[in-house]
Amino acid sequence: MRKWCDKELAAYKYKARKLIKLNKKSKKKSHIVPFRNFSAQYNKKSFYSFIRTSNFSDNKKEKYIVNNDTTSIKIPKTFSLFSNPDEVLGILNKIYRISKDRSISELKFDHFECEDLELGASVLLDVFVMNALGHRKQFNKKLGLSGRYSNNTHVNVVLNVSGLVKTLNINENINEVIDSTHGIEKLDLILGGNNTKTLKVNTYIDSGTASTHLAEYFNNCLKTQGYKLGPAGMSQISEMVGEVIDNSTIHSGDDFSQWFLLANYFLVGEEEEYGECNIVMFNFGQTIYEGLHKRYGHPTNNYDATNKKMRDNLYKLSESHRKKGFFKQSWTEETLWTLYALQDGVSRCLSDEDPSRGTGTVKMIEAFQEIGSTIYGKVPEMCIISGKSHILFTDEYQLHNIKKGKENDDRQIIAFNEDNDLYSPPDANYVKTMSNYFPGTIISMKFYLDKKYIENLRGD
Amino acid sequence: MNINLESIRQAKSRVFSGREFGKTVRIKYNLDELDISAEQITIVIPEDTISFNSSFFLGLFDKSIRNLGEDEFRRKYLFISTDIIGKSIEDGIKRAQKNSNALD
Repeated sequence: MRKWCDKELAAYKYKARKLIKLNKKSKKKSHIVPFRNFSAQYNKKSFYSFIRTSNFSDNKKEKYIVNNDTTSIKIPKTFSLFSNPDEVLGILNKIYRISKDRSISELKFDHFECEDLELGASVLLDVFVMNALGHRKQFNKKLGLSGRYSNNTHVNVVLNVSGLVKTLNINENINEVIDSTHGIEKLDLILGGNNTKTLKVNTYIDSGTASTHLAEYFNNCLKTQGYKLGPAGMSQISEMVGEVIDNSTIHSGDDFSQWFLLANYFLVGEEEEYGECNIVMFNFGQTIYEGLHKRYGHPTNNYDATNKKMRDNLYKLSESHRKKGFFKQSWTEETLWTLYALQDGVSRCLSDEDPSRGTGTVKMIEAFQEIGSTIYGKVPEMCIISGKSHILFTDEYQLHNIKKGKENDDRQIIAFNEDNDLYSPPDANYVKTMSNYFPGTIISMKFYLDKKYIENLRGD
Repeated sequence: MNINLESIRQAKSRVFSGREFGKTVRIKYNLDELDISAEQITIVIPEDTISFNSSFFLGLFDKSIRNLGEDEFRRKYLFISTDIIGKSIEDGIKRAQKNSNALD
């Protein structure tokens, strides 16, 4: 029998310790199992085993150059899920491939030319880096990290407060740096879901507690503008966030489920006259389209009356777009069904047993569009990414009330075209199919808190 | 019969959220059987609750509303809560009765 080399032995011992911890809570017998069985059990719960089987692995593979076991990733001038999501996903794919390339011992992040570091893009990069470090630990092949700050002060503040520097705790004085930076409110990364044991994040909590934290956080942001949430406001914010997290937990499927929440807020303007608030919620797991397709993608399946109606509606919608020649590379069935899934009253799980599903995201869109502008003309932006679908929300297209159904129920529809008609293609500037794929769903929001704008809204 | 939701609340949470959590609580208090009993049930929602999300409400009571109908549900289930939470409960009752969808 071949004797293990030191590296293999160290890797096995590391995994064995991990499995003991994983099994502890389920009260399984804590003993060291044969290596093959251990790997299968550990990998079943890991992010990398999920990624490997998802379409993320098929993303465009940008090249990287290795120089003396070191490689570098240059962060572009605009690193944003709003404006260049494909490039962001390309970089995430690069990090994933670099982490598996054991010829590389050091990875450098060059933020020097970055002038716009959007929070969603930043936190995704951080999570992929954390998973990369965890993956490397299994093989006892450390991945060293280093980086260059940006030439832009605001980008560096983001890096220190909510970005890579903060997440990896690279700077031991980081908390002092954050505390000394004026006009910041932050909510550190929160993790939840069914597969949380293989990723070490400071805070793991349930959706109810996450909602509480975010409501209190938002209240602190509002106080910088001389306002605070009353009981009704706290309730509305908590409900919005709680429902979105609840949706992500349910719809991400049974195979793999992790959700994350992060936020930051900065006073901006020459005289700090208003604040910019960024909130990101995302989950890894089944995408919106994958979930719909899993449930309704089989014409011969037996459905109850309500589900049959939902399936027929989806196929009727697809067929209409297909026959009229609307589908193309940047507008596919995936994005059409994703857009449809966001409408009020739609849900994959619609059935006689539970016909009331289909609320959270719509309510959040509505609230987001109502507040969040400034008197200086700044308007909120929100984007939803799921799989290859990218949907951008601004004040250009808004939810409209439409009477639907036999009971003439009020439903809110947003179709991103002039007629607000889901049977017509949406505006390609706001709804598109990307080239790259995200293995889950992201909601990223940027909005403003401006005392004068709020006063106008209230009629003060 | 009184059901005080303080006992099922997660630590540090002032929000009742999540459809699956609502369904779990429904099973815990055996509401399927209580629905068909003659008993009137009082639900006590802790005073410091920030939000009683419709997802949780529907997980807990959606089946009751559908089986009993709105009027009988209101007669059978009484709620002790703040006014704000009371409004969420009303919202939940309305949502439980919506049947149409975006393409009807």
